[in-house]
Amino acid sequence: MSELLEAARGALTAGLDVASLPVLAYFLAINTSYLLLIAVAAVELAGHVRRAPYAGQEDSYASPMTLPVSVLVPAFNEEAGIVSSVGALLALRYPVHEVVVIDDGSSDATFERLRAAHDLVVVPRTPAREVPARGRVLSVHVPRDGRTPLVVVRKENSGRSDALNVGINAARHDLVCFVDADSILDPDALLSVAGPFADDPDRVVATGGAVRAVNGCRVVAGRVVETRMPTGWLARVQVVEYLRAFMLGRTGWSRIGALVLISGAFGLYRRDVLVEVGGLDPDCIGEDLELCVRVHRTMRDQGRDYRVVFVAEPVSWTEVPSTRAVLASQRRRWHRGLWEVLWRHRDMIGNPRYGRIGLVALPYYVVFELAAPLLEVVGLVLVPLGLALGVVDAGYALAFLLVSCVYAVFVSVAALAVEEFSFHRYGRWRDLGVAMVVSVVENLGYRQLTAVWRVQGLWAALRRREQVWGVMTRAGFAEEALVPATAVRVPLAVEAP
Amino acid sequence: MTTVLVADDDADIRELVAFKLGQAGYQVVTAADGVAALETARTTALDLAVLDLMMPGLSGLDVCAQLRLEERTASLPVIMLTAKAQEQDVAAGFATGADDYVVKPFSPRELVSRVQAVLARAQR
Amino acid sequence: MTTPTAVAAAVTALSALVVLLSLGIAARRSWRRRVDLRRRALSEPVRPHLLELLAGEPDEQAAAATRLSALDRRTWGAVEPSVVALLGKVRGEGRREVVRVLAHRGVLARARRDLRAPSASRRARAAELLGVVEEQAAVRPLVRLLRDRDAEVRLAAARALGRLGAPQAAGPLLAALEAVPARVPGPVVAQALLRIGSAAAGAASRALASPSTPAATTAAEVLGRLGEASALEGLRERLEHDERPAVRARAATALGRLGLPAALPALLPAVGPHEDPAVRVAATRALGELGATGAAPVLCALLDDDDDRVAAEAGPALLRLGAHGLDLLRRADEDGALPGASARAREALALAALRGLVPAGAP
Repeated sequence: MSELLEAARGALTAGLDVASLPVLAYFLAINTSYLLLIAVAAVELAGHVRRAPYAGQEDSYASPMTLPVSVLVPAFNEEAGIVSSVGALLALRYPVHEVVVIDDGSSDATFERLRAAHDLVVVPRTPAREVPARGRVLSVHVPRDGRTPLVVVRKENSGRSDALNVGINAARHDLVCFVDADSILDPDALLSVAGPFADDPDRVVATGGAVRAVNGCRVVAGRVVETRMPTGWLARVQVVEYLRAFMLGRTGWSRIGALVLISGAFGLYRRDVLVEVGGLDPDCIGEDLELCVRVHRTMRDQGRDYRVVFVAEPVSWTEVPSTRAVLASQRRRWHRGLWEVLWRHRDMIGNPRYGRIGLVALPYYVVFELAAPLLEVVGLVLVPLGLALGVVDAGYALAFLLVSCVYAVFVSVAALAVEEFSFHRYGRWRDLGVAMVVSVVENLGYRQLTAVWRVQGLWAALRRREQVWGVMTRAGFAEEALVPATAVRVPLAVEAP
Repeated sequence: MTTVLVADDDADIRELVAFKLGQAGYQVVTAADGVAALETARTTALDLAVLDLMMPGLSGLDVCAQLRLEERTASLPVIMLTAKAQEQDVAAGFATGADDYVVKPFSPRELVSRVQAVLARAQR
Repeated sequence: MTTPTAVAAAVTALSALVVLLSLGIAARRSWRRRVDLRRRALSEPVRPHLLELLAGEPDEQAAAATRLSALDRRTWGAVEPSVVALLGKVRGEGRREVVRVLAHRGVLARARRDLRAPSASRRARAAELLGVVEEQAAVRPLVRLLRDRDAEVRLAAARALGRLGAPQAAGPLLAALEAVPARVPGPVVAQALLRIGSAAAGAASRALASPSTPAATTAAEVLGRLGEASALEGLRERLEHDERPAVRARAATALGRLGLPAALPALLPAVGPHEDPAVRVAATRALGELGATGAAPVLCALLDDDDDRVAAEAGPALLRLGAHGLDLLRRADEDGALPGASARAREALALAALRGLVPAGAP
């Protein structure tokens, strides 16, 4: 018995001796990379805030040249909020836009409520076939008054991606906006997110909007009137996480021209580019990441001068999971999606042909997003084991933990500082205090939990790959169809430490 | 006392129009969005409504359409005040039942004249 | 090994940074609150005068103007942003009064100077202000700013020139598009030219033949929206002979907007099967806008086109041709030989029924 113990100790000592410095270096590197992204984002936001007084949004609103937008809303069993959601989308401040709701074979009263609210009638619309879509279109409806720019497409259930593809086919305008049925948009959201298209019409092909947590905010008449921190700690941590990873992380990536993820909850694409790349992939879990990467691939393969831009203006709000179970399934799904996309486009990783995407963004995602939770979980297991076996010096372990913890807190507080100097949406002192506390508390359990969930997602992804592709397709569909209405379609890959 | 509702999400516009109409001798109630506007129209005795087209929640067009549907407010005079100046917007405004359409930027004095004219027509 | 001291140092340094940042955040917030409160305290009592200035009776306006001109620097500083904001929202006499006050307080003189300021944001803000105020004397310096090294400044200058409505700015605005890369985005130039109005038609007509695609397409768009009948020949020329599909498509759209029947012979071949898809779509739509019944047979044939987008435009276009188009649509609907065409015809008729263009109950 003691021989076994000795052997274990020996192995562990050897392993830790080899691994300790690289692991420390890894954690320093990952947090430093966040810091760099935040610094780049800070510069970008400073310019954005400075330019705001003369950004000409009112001009865009009044200009007949502003490109019309088709807002696509895939809906599955959204009877609770679909009418107010569609009403709010129709009332967005934008010169010309239409709302296309794709009823993905809902089994509840989603369609009925829309029909009643807008007096929908059937029209014999021939669906276009530009983007391949699997779900059969059952009927197309428009309001009887003939002037409200709303189209409701009913189709067989086939998942969100396929519903969006049907939407792309049904869309009339040159710009297409993906929105979640349960998202809340500011009235100026479209103007904000379409801004880059107006400023650089020849190059910009896609823009993404910032998504923030609506939990705890005061919402009046479908509009966020006051931004507040939520009451539950789980939601609170996510608010800070979204600020750091989504708003700042993506602003940073966008600034260096390597943004690979546009949230499916609020993104704007050029319709012709979507048709060119073939729309979304219904077989991929991380469909929004996959679409963006595929757009990059296509554009670079063609050698086109293009841009993918992130708009940091806080104009889009969504409810974040407030229970562990829902959060866990979300993070597992995200990580599985991340693996699938990186695997599918593995030939782009490290490939100079794909410029910053291939040489910077994708390798970053592999090393610091995909692998990070693995290292964390391994550490979670080995360090206590080492302590128990007396192999690891308690002092050293504590020191290492402390350094990585404080560094992570520093990164979060830096993010809060940038938010304070730019959009400063959280007005109450209490909220600021909570955010600071969260920055610390996040490292005491939340990070570790999300690491475990992400590893589980990765494991699930690897396991499924063993199966035949056909079977996996079925499972993918079934899962999409069964996702309950409370689970939130939220942007992918969170750049969390 | 002639009561006029002013609905616009822009506080500056609300204040300005309220000021000018108040000066002209009208009693003014304001609303910051379409829902509040509808509520006010239903609960207060109004003589005219000035509606902005683009408001959060319910747009001015929606409010006007709804007003025309309800018995109490079906004949309430409505003036649209909005930055949307395209032909189709003006046409849509009139088609929904508006009595007049003023484009922003607007002249406050002109707006008052139009309010007076529309009210005079309505009384006849 | 110096690890413990290194670690201690790192932790201390980082913690200190965290504390510093937190203090920074708190300080910034307090500062902002204080500034906001102060501004509000200063501007509240002045607000009624501002409203009087914009919307009051002439004697009230004069009195308010005097009050505002005489405000001390701090109060004026608190009020100035609202003044400028309100300026953009009103027209008429009130506006002129506000501009007079701004001139009196030296705001306009400062803006004119700031057009040459070293800071890009100052230049841009000055340009924006001069545009809102419609200061005609600023046209020349604003035209110079179209060549500024900062993109935001160029944008602000272009927009301001539009608001000024200065005809002499039309040429330079289009020239800004001809640079490679274009110095100002096309839509902004187009909007500015539209604001300038018919006076820009000459420069736009000349730019039609420009080798620069953004310049040519913007010129075509502007001429179409302005309804410049004199541009008919130039646009026809572009549609028939320009090598770039983007330019041909815009020319087609513009011809549709002009609504002159003489454009028909040029538009009809533009929907031909060998044309670029974007041009075909634009031409189909244009044929509808033109409203010439001579286009009816061509549009009818397009109902069955292989290109979904073209076929989708053919129905609405036929609707715009009036009774004749309606008739053809009904016949296409009943004709069983071409199911695709029938479906599209039915679709157009249904939409027409909804919009009240067709008596209810029509097939």
